[in-house]
Amino acid sequence: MELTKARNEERIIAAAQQGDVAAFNELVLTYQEIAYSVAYRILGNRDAAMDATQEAFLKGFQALPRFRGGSFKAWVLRITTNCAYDQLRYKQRRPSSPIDDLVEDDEHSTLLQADEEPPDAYMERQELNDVIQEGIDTLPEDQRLVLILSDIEGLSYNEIAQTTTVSLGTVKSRLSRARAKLRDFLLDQGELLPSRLRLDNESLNE
Amino acid sequence: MFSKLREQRNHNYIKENLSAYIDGELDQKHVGRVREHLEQCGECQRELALLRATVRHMHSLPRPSLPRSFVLAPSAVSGQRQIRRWDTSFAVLRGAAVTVSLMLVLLLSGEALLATGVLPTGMSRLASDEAMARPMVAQEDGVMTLAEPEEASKAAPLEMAPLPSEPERDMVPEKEAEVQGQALVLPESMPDPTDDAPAAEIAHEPSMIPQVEAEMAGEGVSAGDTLTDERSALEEALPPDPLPESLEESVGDAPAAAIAGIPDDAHGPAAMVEASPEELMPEEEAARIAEPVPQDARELPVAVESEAGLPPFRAAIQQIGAVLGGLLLMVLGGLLWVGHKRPRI
Repeated sequence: MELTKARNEERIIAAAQQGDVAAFNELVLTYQEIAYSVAYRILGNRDAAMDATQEAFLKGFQALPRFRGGSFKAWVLRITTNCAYDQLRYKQRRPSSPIDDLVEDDEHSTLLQADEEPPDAYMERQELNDVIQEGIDTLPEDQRLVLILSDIEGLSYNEIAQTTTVSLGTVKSRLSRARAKLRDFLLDQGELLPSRLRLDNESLNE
Repeated sequence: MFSKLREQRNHNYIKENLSAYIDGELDQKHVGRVREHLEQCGECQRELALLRATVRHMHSLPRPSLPRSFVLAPSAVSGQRQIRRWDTSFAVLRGAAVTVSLMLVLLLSGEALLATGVLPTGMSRLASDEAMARPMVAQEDGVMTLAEPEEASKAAPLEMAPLPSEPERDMVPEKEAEVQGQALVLPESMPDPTDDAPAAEIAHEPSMIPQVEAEMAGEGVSAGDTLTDERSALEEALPPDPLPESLEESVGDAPAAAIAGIPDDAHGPAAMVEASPEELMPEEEAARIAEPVPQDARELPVAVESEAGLPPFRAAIQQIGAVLGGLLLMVLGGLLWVGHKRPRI
């Protein structure tokens, strides 16, 4: 099943490499969610993430003749992260006012409230989400990317290595350091971690 | 003591690898080691629990809802063609840059060889060809290749003669003379008369005669040879100009070498030199032929002409060099521009 899927994708890629837009759009439909998600986690901003994603797919289509096999997902995500970091630097050069960011985040929450979910639970989830995003933002760029790809998008170490063009060992150590930092950050924030873990931490410090 | 140290190291190692352990990305043998350590280390157990909780939190983050679809409009096809064009022009420009650079390097090294005298210039090539063809011949057999120097001496004056009304002038001056000069040497060794390499190679042999001397040698030779049939014409054509000092100086190894092989039937000052092949070491000859040279100086206008004739040759090289340099700059500029404009991942 996986094999047929992979072969099918190869065929689609080959067609897209010949300039078949319809074929390429099949790939877009497959990968746009993960691409946008990665861009969003890097940028923390919906509009910037949209720009980065659209640009990534355009560039991907243009650069597709130069795609030499391997994981297409990793290839697309590499372009996406490059575009996202371009956006990030663009944003850093022209920082928007904090109010703009607040309005944006309120209007376009990434979380959907389930019908049966109590408002409190939803609020808590929202809060946790914000704290984690805040923690991710404190990480150095290279560690942040590895953490996003691994723990949010669920990529394997191998796929991460291909996406970020570093070795497996580097992926492993970057991820280990990123998680340790995020763990410390979440522990500092306290209430968002289960009390059992907080107690564990206290006993650790004693 | 040591076992404690080892334990500490093991503990640190396990701690660093807990992250990969939860992801199932550790080698099987390391997994066993981690498990073994975890059973007896409370700190690592807590560490593992914290890491797992952190990762769980991360996994619980929802994917942001897609604000819209990112499928491309068919108009993007034009972009596809565009990228191919960019790629093609980039490749072409890269090839052009390499080619022009190579040509420039060849030209510059040729120019450098000319400047240092390792490779004789067009005029002096003729002379130095003779200068070394002769001694070579002389050492083997003094009588050999009489006709060749004869021809060469014809070529030399023709090349330099300023008057078009000269009776024997029936050749296109520069190029044919040059070709002939090369042809002189070629039958002996080189198969390709259009190649500059033979001249250059052979130019090395007569103990690296510096360029000026080689030229002078050429003059000496042509002076000697020319006397057979060209002298009167030349005397008419060229104003007498002794140039004594330079010639005296120039009577170094080269003239000797050149004159060494002068054919027996040559009349004139050069003939004063006895052509005895066995003792024809250029240095020895140089002293003996000191006298004839000033007389030959009548031919020196030819030499002056040839000196003056050299710059055009090198100037042409410099012009070509300048054109190539300009071309290279343009190509590199284009390369930079295309490299900048062409869409990248």
